[in-house]
Amino acid sequence: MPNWTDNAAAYFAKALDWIRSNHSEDEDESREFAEDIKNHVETEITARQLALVSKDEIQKLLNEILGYEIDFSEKQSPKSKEPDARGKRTARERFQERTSKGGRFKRSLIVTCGIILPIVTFVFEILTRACTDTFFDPIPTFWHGLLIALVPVIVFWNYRFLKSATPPSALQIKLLGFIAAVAVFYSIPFAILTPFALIGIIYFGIGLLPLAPSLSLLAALLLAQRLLKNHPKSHCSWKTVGIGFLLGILAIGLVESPRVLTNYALSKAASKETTESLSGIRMLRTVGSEKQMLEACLPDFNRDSPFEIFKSSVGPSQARTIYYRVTGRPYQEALREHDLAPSFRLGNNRRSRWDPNVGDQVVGQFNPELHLQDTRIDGKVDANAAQGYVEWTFEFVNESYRQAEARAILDLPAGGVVSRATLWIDGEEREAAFSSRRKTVAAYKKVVSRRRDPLLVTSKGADKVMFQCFPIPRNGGTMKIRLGITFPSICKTQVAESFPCQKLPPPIFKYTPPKAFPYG
Amino acid sequence: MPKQDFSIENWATQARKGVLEFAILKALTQGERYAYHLVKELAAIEGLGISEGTIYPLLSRLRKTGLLETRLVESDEGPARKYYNLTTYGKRQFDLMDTYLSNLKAGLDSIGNGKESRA
Repeated sequence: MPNWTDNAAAYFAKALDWIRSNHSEDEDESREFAEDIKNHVETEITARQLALVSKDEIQKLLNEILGYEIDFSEKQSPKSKEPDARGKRTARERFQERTSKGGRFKRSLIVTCGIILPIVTFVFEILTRACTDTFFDPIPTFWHGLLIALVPVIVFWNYRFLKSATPPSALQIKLLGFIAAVAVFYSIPFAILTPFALIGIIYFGIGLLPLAPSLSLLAALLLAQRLLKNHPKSHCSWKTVGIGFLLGILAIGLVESPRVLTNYALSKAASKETTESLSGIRMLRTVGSEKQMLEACLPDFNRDSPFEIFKSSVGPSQARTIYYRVTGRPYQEALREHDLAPSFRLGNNRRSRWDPNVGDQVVGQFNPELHLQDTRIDGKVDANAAQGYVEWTFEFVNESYRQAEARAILDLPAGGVVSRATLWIDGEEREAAFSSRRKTVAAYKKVVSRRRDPLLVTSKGADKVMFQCFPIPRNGGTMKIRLGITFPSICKTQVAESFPCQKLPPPIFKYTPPKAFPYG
Repeated sequence: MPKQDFSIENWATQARKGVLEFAILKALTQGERYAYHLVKELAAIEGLGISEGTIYPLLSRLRKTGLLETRLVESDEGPARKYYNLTTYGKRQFDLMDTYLSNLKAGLDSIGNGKESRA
């Protein structure tokens, strides 16, 4: 009896398993074939009178018998390379050979990058609006959202034909070209973020979302390539994909055209030439988007598009004048009626009004989603020093999806001043610095534009101050500030009357007057 | 002069494809054969150009179409031995194939031997 090495026995068992799995779709046939090969090998070993059977012997023997070398990474045996007794392979066998070659990795790539990643990215943006708040709004209109949503849908639809013997239609191949155009359109602005995304992936394990457009483009092209290769007689070619691509460009043009036309008309309307300006006004009245005109009146308008050619060169103050000329009414009035929330918004369907006076020195319009969650007054009166000191703490909560600024004018006790201002940042108290009005306002605006955490307190006339703090984080975020007020000492009743919370000029936020003044 | 790219190998492959089944059936006309020896003999035929591993699926297919039958015999020396034999149906089909090939060969042999006929 020949002796088998452990490696030889293990290799032989693995080879027989592979044959059973890959010889034929018919399990019985595969099992019978594996059994025949097993018997043949064992008989051959006996016939050759081998004393020791090594793995190399088994490998060589199997190569001779089968006529090919087993590649365990291949999922199909190359048996179809051998002609069958009738001399030709069936179309199904040829199709199976084509679809099995190197397919598993590419299929996984198509599913991950063409279906899963776009869906995750789309849903993430709808729920969080992270890109909108940070870079630009990728879904400014319903039609943009539809184009993006089509990407995973079309990839999924075509993916089902990868393993099917039925060839895809020309429409399906064209749609792959169509979504490739959409992916290219979004890949361009996100290309800037690609290096950061790659760093994020390498070092932190996250960062795939900015790569979603590029990866879905790769998936669409890969899918088209596989489909065209698997179905060479489908009368489709890369030309069909190209036609779809052009249709995609056309669709993108149609979707972007209102923005482009409105921007062009705004630029014309802002011209110093009267004729051109009138032409721009007429154009805005005809084809201009009112929502876009209103957005142009706001400071963050240009964030809606990542492309320079789509951005307007008209500043907010010019846009406000143009809006009045076009519609005949002030933009503030229209802002109260228009919901400038993004078109796709889940989880927060309330009308979140835009605050046009962020950073300005006016209280501005009421924001119903900004609340004074907590307020507290602590103080003492020093009779010897003939002065009193109170600390008034405010805590705001912002329930809108946008960051908000709290602004209010406070009446101070007669002769009182704000001697201290404190802002909590990440749970730590930070004291404010004092400077001239001009410098502090400029510093505040600078910090606001960078969305850092400033608090500004300015005088607003005799015994009045205005405070403003930004940004109060969105979606339930809070911000806490404290004002220290020093005032000449007066009698207790006068102190109570000097904090007429009920008589405050209407602040921007909603509040409930505090409980009885402690010194009352 | 036209391009000379006729492939004798391709022609031989096509020619072989038609006779594989005939060769298997012919090998069994003398009686039952042990699968291992049958396969070794067929694989050794020069010009047939098939590997041992390819013959087993052919044997299996012929068995399923009713031309062959098998039986297993337990062996003390190794695995159970599978023996192949022609069925009655298989014998009949072989005779038909044999007749066909004989006629074909005769016809091929006669090419170029007869006189041209004139109208």
